[in-house]
Amino acid sequence: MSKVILQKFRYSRLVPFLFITLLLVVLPVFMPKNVQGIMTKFLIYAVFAISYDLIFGYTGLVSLGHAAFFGAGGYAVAVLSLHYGTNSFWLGGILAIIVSTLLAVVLGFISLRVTGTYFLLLTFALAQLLYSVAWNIPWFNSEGMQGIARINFPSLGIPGEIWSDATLYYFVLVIAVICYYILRRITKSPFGHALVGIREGEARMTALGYNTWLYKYMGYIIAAPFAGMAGALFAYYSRFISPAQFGLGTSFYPMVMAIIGGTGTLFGPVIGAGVVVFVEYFASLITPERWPLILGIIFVLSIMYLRSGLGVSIYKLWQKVSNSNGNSKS
Amino acid sequence: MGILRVENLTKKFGGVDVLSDVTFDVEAGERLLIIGPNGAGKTTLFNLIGGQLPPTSGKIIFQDRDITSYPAHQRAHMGVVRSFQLLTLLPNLTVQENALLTFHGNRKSRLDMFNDFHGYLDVNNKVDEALNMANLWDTRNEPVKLLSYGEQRRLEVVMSMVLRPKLLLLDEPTNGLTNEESADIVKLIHQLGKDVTILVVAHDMDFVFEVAEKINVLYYGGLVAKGSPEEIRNNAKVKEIYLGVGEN
Repeated sequence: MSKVILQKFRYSRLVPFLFITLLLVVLPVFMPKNVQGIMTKFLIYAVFAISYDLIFGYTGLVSLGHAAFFGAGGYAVAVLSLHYGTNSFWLGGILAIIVSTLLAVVLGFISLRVTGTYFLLLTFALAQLLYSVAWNIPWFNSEGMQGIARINFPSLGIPGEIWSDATLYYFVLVIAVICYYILRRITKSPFGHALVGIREGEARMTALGYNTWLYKYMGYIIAAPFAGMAGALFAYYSRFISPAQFGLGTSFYPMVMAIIGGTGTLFGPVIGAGVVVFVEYFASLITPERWPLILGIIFVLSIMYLRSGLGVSIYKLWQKVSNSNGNSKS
Repeated sequence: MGILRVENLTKKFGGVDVLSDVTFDVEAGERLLIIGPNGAGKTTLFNLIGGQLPPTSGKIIFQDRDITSYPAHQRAHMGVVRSFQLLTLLPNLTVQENALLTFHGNRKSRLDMFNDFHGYLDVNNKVDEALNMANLWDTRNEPVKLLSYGEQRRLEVVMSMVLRPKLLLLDEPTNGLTNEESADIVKLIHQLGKDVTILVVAHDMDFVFEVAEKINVLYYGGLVAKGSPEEIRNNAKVKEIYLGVGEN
């Protein structure tokens, strides 16, 4: 019998996760309404960031076009609302998943022909292409404006359901937890570890029998529906979708979040999303024009002093605390 | 026909013939050594057999199948396993993770997306076997980059052995090791059964005569001599171009 590896399952590992979930459930009740909205935005971007982390942090592919899937999800919901008058989440959410996945099948196939900087440029160019499609084709715009407005809260088809900002928050929370759980399982699986192996040394992985191109392609495709779902939720949240959702700024968000929080950890990008969203909010209260400056300073500081990311530092701190609390033997 | 046949294999980098028209057979279970001075094309030959590089012309036939155009990962599934001259373990991952990735690589489980990486009993058993054989069990949770050079080498060789390949390609397995460490590697190679055919590229003469049953000598991209260690030792041409150089 193997002496390894069937690592003893320690309940203490679940504690931080349960604590954070509890915090996310309880906290918004005591918050002013606008901060509650910011919490919703934070969760949406957290989903977007962990989706990007699968490509960027785990597989080591630097993409500047992740907005393509975010925008596709958002437009899926928006177009249904504009042209078909439905805000059913079952239609919108599923359409967002399908559209973003199919898009990844195509875009991944094109972008993964090349590597490194060329991959970055190609993903950027393809996302910009979608930007101009959304900008120029009238079908993708409400009358007399760029973008699609007046998107309603999602409907789940439950009789008598009542939606408010608070309902939306908890709805987004449930979906974010599901997304996090699925991606956690994937990153802990042999497939997820193979992605890390490819990041660390593609030639070796090929010699070991891994079809590395296929892995990168599959990783790219798998990440997409999560970004698409984040985009769909964003449409419900902001009630408005514009071509900027395909833009460079949107692609930068998850990258900055992942780097601040700690790449290749899933947990890190969630923390990073929190930092970015809240800094953006509070900094724009202080200086509405120049909040990117403050975010920029935080970004630079975190790269200089917290190389492995804020989330990783918090996690290590937690390990220290929990180890010094008696059960130091594991 | 043997397990592997290399037929008129040629590789050019730009205008330079790194390998020209190399042909040889390897019988199943054989321990074949490929020696030759620096730049003779030994590693290139391995890169062609392992699928890391495409040949300019010529054929590679493995178990009666023409694998010349097969990608490296597919050759790995057929049982062609290689170790690299320069260490290519994944330096930032732990010893255990490296071993797990190695043993998942030849199984369907490598595509598993939902179960725990650490949860496969048979894979774990192989990891145990390899880490015990390499005497690295206690370092299993260390990143590979913290191991000594000799330990990394040993880990790589042992893992390629535990994979039970049909054809094992060892590129300079004792390069840069101390005498004791080399002796360990030789011992490990002797432990392998005859179901594994081994091709070794080597520099180190003691090692060559310790392990080899047959030797091919490469010199500037061409095969200049084949034979038993005795024959090679007494071959005038080989003495001149290879061993002679070493004595100066």
